Amino acid sequence: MKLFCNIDPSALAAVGFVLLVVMMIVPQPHHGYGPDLPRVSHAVSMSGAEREDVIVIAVMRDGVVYFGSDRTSPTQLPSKILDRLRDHAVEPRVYIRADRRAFYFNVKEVLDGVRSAGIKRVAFLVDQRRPLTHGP
Amino acid sequence: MSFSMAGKGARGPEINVTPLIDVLLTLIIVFMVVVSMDKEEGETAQIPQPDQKQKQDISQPSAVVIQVVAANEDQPPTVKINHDEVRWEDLERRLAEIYLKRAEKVVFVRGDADVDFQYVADVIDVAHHAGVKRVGLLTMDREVAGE
Repeated sequence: MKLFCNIDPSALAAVGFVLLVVMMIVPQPHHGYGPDLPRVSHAVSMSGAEREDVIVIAVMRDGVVYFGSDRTSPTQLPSKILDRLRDHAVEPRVYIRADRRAFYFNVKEVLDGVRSAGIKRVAFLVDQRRPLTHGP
Repeated sequence: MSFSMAGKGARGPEINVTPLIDVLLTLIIVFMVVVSMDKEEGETAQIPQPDQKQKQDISQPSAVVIQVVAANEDQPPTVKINHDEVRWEDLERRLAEIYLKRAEKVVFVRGDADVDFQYVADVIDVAHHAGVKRVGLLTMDREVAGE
């Protein structure tokens, strides 16, 4: 009778193993879309970019622009940014996730849109080239 | 599994799964924590606003403009400091020399349209590391705005 009351540990181990594999495979679940960020040597930590309400604009390799997670065009950026700045007490800074192989032309269009919205401060999100060494 | 056990007798060799589950759960928790603690890193820059003061800043003879000029296909772009071409390896040293004796550590960056963004990001990164406090990005409206 005791046999029927036991948890089957091998099934639990199987579920745990599957979860483990899923966790290892999914690299960054909080950014579903991901441009290939530029790699630089002396990036500074940017904890402000991790907040939920910041303005993030992504520029893909083919020049497609996303405002948050909505696809948009650079000409629509000023009104969207101004909308966001009116709605919340959000930081008047734009975080740009630009693909490192995107043409600078596409980034410039975005920068023009950001400037038209009256925002002066931008930050480009990057990857650290050498994560452990900080020397030149 | 239980079928084969039944065939060979109830006391056959069996892996003790309890420590295995312990290890798995610990690994899962470690991976969850590592993924959620993924830190963002970035480079700050500024976009000069079209007001009177900034225009003067750029047209000052002392203003430093770094240009990233597109080269031939499959060649990395060249970089210039105020029209003087420098090598990528020398960029940081030259900037450090320039800004050593300056109080206003501002640089302007202008990039050609068909340059990969990676190179512009590199210039911003090197400029910050050379001691520049503010990097201003010149966009297309200001191409003519004097240097």
